[in-house]
Amino acid sequence: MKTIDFGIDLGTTNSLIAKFENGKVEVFKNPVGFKETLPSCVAFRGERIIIGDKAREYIVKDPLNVFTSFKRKMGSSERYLVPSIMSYYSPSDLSSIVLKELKNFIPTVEKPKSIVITIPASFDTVQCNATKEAGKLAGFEEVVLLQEPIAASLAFFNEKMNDAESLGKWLVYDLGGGTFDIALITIDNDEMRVVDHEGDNFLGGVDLDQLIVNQIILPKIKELTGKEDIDQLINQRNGPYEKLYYILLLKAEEAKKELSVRDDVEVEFTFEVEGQDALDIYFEINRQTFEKLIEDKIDYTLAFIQKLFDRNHIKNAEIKNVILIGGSTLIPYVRKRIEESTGISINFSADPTTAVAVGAAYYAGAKRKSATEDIIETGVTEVESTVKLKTAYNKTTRDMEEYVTGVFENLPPNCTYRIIRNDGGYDSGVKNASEKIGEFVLLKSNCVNFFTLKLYDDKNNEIPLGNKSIEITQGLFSLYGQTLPEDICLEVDDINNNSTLSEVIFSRNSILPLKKTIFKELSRTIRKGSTDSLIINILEGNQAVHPSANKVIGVIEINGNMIASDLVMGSDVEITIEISESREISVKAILTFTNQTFDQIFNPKEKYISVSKLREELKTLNNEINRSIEKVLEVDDYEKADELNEILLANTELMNESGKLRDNDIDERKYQLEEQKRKVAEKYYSIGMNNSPVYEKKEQIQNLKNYIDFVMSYHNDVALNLKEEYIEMIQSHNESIKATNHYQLNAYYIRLDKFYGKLVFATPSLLVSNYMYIKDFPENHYKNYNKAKALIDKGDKALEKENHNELLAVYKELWQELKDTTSEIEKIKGTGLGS
Amino acid sequence: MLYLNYQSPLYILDDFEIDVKTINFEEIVRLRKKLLAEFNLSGETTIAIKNKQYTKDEVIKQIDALKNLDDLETHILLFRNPELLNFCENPKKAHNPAKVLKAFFDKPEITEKCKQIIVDAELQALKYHLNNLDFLWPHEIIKFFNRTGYLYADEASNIIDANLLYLVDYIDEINEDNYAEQDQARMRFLKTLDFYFFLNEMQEDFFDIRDSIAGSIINLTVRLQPVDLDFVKNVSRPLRQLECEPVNMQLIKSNHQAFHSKKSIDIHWFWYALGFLLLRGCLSAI
Repeated sequence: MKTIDFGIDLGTTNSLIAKFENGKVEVFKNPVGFKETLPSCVAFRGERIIIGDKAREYIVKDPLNVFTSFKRKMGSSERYLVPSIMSYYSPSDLSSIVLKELKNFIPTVEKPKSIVITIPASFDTVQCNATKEAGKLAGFEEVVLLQEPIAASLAFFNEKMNDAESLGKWLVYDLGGGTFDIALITIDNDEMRVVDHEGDNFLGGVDLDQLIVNQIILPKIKELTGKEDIDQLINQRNGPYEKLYYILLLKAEEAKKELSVRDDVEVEFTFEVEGQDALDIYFEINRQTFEKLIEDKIDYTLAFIQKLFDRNHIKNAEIKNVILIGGSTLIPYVRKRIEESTGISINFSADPTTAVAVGAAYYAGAKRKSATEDIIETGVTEVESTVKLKTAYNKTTRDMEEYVTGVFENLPPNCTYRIIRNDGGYDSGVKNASEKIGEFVLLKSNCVNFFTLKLYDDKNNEIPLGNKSIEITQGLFSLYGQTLPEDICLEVDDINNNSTLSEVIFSRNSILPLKKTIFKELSRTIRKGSTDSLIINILEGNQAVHPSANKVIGVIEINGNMIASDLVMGSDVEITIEISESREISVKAILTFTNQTFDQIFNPKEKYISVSKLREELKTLNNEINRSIEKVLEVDDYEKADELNEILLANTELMNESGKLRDNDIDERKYQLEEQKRKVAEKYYSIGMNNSPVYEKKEQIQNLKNYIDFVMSYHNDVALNLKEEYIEMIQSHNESIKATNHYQLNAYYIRLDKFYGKLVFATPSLLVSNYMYIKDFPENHYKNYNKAKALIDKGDKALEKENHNELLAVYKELWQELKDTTSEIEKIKGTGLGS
Repeated sequence: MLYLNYQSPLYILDDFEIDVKTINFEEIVRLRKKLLAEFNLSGETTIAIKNKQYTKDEVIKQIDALKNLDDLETHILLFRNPELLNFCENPKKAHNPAKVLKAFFDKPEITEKCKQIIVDAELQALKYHLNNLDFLWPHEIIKFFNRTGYLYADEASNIIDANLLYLVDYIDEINEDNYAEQDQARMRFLKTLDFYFFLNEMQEDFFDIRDSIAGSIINLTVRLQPVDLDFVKNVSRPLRQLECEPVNMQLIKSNHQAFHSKKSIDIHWFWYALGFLLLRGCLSAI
């Protein structure tokens, strides 16, 4: 069994490469300078490309031709212009340059074709695909992605923990250069599992650097130079301070690092603008100022911990330790704040810089290469005798036995086999070989166990199987697989609520790869040749929220021109969705009625974020939240109004922030705001506010109830039995109005409405006031005004005579003559798939 | 509410010929190793166990279910009743084993967990069939809930409430539309006795909505009788079985008679017309 063995931590600020061999992991060093880390920095010097530390040196000299932090824009449509060669590079292109350079760290001539590359746990499908693309551009044929907190956990538990210590629940806190992740890990019976995770793709050390620039350095520049507009212009592409911006970011990063070991630090740089005299600026920052500055950001990460614990019903005391990973956890304030706030001991015994790469190598060491490479490249399954053998087993384990299985091809009859541990500690004995074999083999603890599988023909002659050594390392954790970071959903029609909803196909934290076939019924008829269509919309996000708050991974649209005959409402659509371990999604839809198949692989690698669209979306969301607040206040739902006000506040803040954005900004603010907008929308929709018909109905109910209450108190001729009936009916009013289903509310409304009808018919004074009310309606309110006029004459006479029965008969007829002015809610078009 | 179909973890044991009675933790760990090695060996997303395809995630979940030894009794009880097991695993598609359920639910050895699994399956089936205007199984399900006392669990009540109200709107909507031939397909359920038997199983809380449905159907039949008397007659016949408020019941009965007599007159006229044509034919032949 051939494994990948090589793992890369492709970081925002630093990248590393490591290899698993003989049960151990080695982090390779740069042959130039012998450092393990390679700064994820690319500089263009004419035709020459410089990577790493050397490239960083050019930030001060030629910042416009040096690129860093491009991982933060992975999967975006952003292109970096390299002025020295007038070419554009995508974040994937730049990442592939770093990956290629890491290959050079490997001392052997033979370079790997398969690789494990780590990604933040919260990377979405588009970002994953862009990372895979970078791997392919760097020349890797097989790219397996691994979530960073999983990698860090593998490194920590394999290297730092013994059996007894490791049992229990752990929290991995990974604050890297550009991203933040936390993961909840359990160790039980020698099994390591990732229970759940949370994170933010746009929070890391780079954001702390930006805070130093914006909050400390720029005010200082303003003070010393009088350039009041500098904070408006500093991050503008092709702006007067673009070069300075990159230099300041570098200075801020240096200051931040120094402040982790010193109480104060000096910042020094030259303020230089074209056509003006240069000015040397020098000042000091102390640790206290820095800590105050980053307080909010660190508290923001702590909120994720709480969210994760709440979701999994876990108390802080249940967590053994918080394992710190990522360069930014070297900041003493971060450590202090986590410990103070959670009351959980922190554990920083893992090297925060190398842990992810080490874990990636552990994972690669147990990960089988793709089948093709296994056979073709290694040749180990090819044997002279034409007998082929393919084996499978867990390469790393904490158990004292492991299962080895294999399949033979072209196996001659009456063969036998035997598995022997090379040190003689285990022997399976001679057994009859069949096409498929399997044995539990005993392991020696804390070492690499080598086994040999021998095959014998019917005359007991050994059939050579080539170098088929079986290698199992005892004492290391292995993982069943990676987990899905977010729910994968299908958008379906929610006819009862005149809306669509996200129906979960795969829940978050399911182990990849996944495959499922579901049957859906068409919720409407689609005529052949019509423009109507069936929409299969695959979403990524949260099943509890409205589809619009989730991310679209891909859509298959089948319209009337694509179908062989009419698709009748209620006919079946068979939909098969498959997700690979690296999160490639393929969808196959079979229309059973027409026997047609539509399939597609969704592999989106880019998403575009328009500032104006973002602003518009935030504004729309703000309006929607405001409307919802009005509606819930109308039905006295103050609790929900408070919740909504909180969401409104967060959204308004984002709206204000978006007002400062420009399409040509060079920082990542728009991506951050986009992510935050999704989180706000998710919160808004998860409290059930996506459903306006529900609130319309609640409003109608409340209005009707208020009116009946008024009638009850104002009209003193209401019959006693009706009063009693009403009291009984509204006992459950508060409960009934809490319903979230439109039709449940409608049921309550009909009950109230029916009662009101009875009330009018049985209460003379109410009948008179209602008659007086409708008889004055303008002409256009009646279907046939002449008939209505005749009825009104008749009614007036009945009123004069105080003939209640006659008036009631007229009132009923007149009511029938009124046009129905209630506005129908416009029905949504929907997807065509029933829920 | 997200319902997850019950999946018996015992197929795995069955496939590996492991006796469920003797299973222990060590054996479960060994079983998991064997199954995960299968994925490794095949390189496929799913593997086949007892003619079913399982992903790695499903296998791990099934193994976790087995680890909870307290639930083994429940799994065994269901596994021994293939018809019931099939229903619990596929509540939307499988036949509702009403008779089996009736006998099964009363057995003293039935665990609470087992009952919950069955009730969940019944709720799923109820929701699905009501959404599809198919009332054969809902009728049985309501009977089951009535008998077991689970009907007024919030969830069942909500499902019924929502769907009945939807029906009122649905019938009213058809009534307001211009009648077209294809509407008959939308209204097929009105011609089935199952629909009215289902409504009759309702308890007092739903009487108001049932009366609204009765009113809507009466309006519909009256409006459609000049257009499609056959359809109206097909509806009015089973409609007589509906137990609603006496005024409506009376109206249904008299309407049915009126529709029936109208049809009879039409038939008489048909024979007169035919006789006239034949006579005229004979006369002209002479």
